[in-house]
Amino acid sequence: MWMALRNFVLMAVLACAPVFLLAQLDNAAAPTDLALQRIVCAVPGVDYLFVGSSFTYSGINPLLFTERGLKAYNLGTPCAGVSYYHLLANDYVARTGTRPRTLLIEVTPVSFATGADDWKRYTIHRTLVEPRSHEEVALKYGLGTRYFELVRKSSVQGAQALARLARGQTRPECKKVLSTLGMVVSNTQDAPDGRRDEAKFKETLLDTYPPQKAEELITLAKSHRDGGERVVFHQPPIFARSLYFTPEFMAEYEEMLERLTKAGFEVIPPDDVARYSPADRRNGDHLNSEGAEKYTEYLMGKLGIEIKR
Amino acid sequence: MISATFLAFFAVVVIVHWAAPPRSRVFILLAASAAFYIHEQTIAGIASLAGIVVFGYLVGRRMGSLPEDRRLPTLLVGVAGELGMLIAYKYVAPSSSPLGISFFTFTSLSYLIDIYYDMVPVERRVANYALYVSFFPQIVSGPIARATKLLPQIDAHESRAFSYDDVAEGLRLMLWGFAQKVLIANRLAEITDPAFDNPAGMQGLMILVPAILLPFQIYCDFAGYTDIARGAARTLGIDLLPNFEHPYGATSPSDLWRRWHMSLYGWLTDYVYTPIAMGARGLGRLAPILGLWTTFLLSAVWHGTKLTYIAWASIHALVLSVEVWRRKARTEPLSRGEIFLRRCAIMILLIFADIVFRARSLPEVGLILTNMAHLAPAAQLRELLAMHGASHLIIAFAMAALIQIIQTRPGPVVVPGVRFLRARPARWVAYCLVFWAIIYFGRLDTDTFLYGAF
Repeated sequence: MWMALRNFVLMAVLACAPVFLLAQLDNAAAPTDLALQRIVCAVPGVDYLFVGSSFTYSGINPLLFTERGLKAYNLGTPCAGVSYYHLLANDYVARTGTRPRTLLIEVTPVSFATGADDWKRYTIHRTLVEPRSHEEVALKYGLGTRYFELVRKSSVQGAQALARLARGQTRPECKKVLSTLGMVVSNTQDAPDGRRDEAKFKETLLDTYPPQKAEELITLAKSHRDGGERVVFHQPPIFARSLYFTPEFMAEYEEMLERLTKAGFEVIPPDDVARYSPADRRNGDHLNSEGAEKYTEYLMGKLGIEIKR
Repeated sequence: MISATFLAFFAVVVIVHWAAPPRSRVFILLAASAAFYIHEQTIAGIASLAGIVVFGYLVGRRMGSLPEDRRLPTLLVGVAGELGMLIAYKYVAPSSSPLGISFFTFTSLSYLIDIYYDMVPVERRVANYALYVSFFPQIVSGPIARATKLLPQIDAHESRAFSYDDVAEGLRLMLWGFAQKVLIANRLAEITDPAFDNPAGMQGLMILVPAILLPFQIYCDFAGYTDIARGAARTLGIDLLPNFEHPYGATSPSDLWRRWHMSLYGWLTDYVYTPIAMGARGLGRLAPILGLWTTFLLSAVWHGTKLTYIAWASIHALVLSVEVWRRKARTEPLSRGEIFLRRCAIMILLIFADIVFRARSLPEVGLILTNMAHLAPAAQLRELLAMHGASHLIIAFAMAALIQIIQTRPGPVVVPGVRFLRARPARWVAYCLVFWAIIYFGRLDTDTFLYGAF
């Protein structure tokens, strides 16, 4: 009987093995996804490093810094929240062996929403210099119900990575990312009402504010300040999504901003959203190139960088 | 139950349970059940379960100390107390209703009623009774345990030897349960949920197609859960009651209810229908009809507070009443044509009743049926294809057809075809294919089961 059981367990392990083995190979070849390429292609030794979500990659134009003789890089990653900021900022240091002079961290109510840190859609933890396993992420962030989705995604990516390796594609194609220093350039314009996807937005938002994420954010900022970086928080304009947060949530968010200030961090106040017309947005929530220029110039002004007209 | 957390927890429980000294097995399962429920529930839910356990145990002990002819008042106190709590939660504070309350209350009631009828001895060991009520594979969505079946197994559990066949059969059942839930029910839900969540915007085929798929989604969701629960229990050396026996292969309404949610309707038949039908024998053919309506209305209350449940139960009670009223002794077997037509009729009944069951209110039922009548097949089909994609719809109907074909075959429900694959390599290839299909094609982002709401 025990022999039969041993064989049964062995067969079960063998049956599962291909799925998990393929999942281990998801980062065997350079990523083709632009969001992940942005991490792999990071430029070393920058003056300004922007860490954030799609609000950052759409809304910050590092080339404006280049024009001023400064070096900046946009490490905005789709669906990033506070937990992703940790991974992105620390990976930059580990990957490039350099620290940015100034680390600019995006902070908006969305950074604390349910939809932030979408581990399944963007498995950035597998793209890091020191990749994190799905098991570690699932345990640390309570993703037990999503674990198999993560494995499935990595397994499919593993098969694709093998195919790319077989074709000899081992180096990332950084050309596109480097041409904009990480920014996503979009010249499309939003519809005048700018309020869409209400159901989609609602389901990604929270009624209650998660205080542990605020702690996580402060820990991240402190660790980089201790490393000698100037840490600055900025609040890119959000439009449609801002309509769906409860007053209680917003009150807690404001309290968190106060805590950041009290902890000695610079928190740049948000720009006046009225300055941004639908012509400055590529969709209901994100800035296009025009809007990005406006917001980046606003930030540069606040950072004390002379703006060239 | 389809999360990595549950599977890791379950693997640990299985290993510890079989590796530990036999005398500690009940305590290990009890601790595992407590951990499972605490993980899923609020303090109020845990307190309710603990309350039912302590109350049921004490009432049982009290009944055991009384002569048989003096047990009725104590039984009534027990039934009123437990049903009172169930009704209070369902009707007064439905939003704070503990997970699985309908299931564990009926499990506890079964024990008290069986003691009254002297069908089970009074359980002296509180740990055994607590495990009987709270055994983790069944606590969320059943099957509802019966004291006569489960308590003797728990009492004898320490002497149950490890069985390779039990473990293998249990894991097979779990695999098939996961496949039903993740590959079929969750995928069908992608078509049915948008339609029934927003019926105002759906007309003709846009709502008719989801309505046809709805019975298969409900069945695969519930049967999937049941198979996972039964498989998990079997792996731990405990046999739970079956819940389904090819219900969509039924050829009459009464046949359907002998095969659907058997643990609940078996319970209701034994403790509600039969006593009423027997007690009211003097009413002739009205006696079983009275029993039927009482049973189905209680079943509606068991499901929840919505009027749609009453309407759903009334539809089935009405159809069954007509069948009982017109029943004639029939000796010759049904022809294949008759069987086919009867199954079609049952499916139409199920589609209609499930629309009522799924709708959020009675006016919404009216809206769905009205919208369904607005047929513009070509345009609606185009819209449906644009919404879900041709391949998704074809696969959905193929899945529904597969389920229907399995239902019309006799024998136990196992991974289709596996029984016929006698050679071990072929069997393992089939397991691998099912496992890989679950991982690569299953919808894994939802861990909730329809009957978890009850």
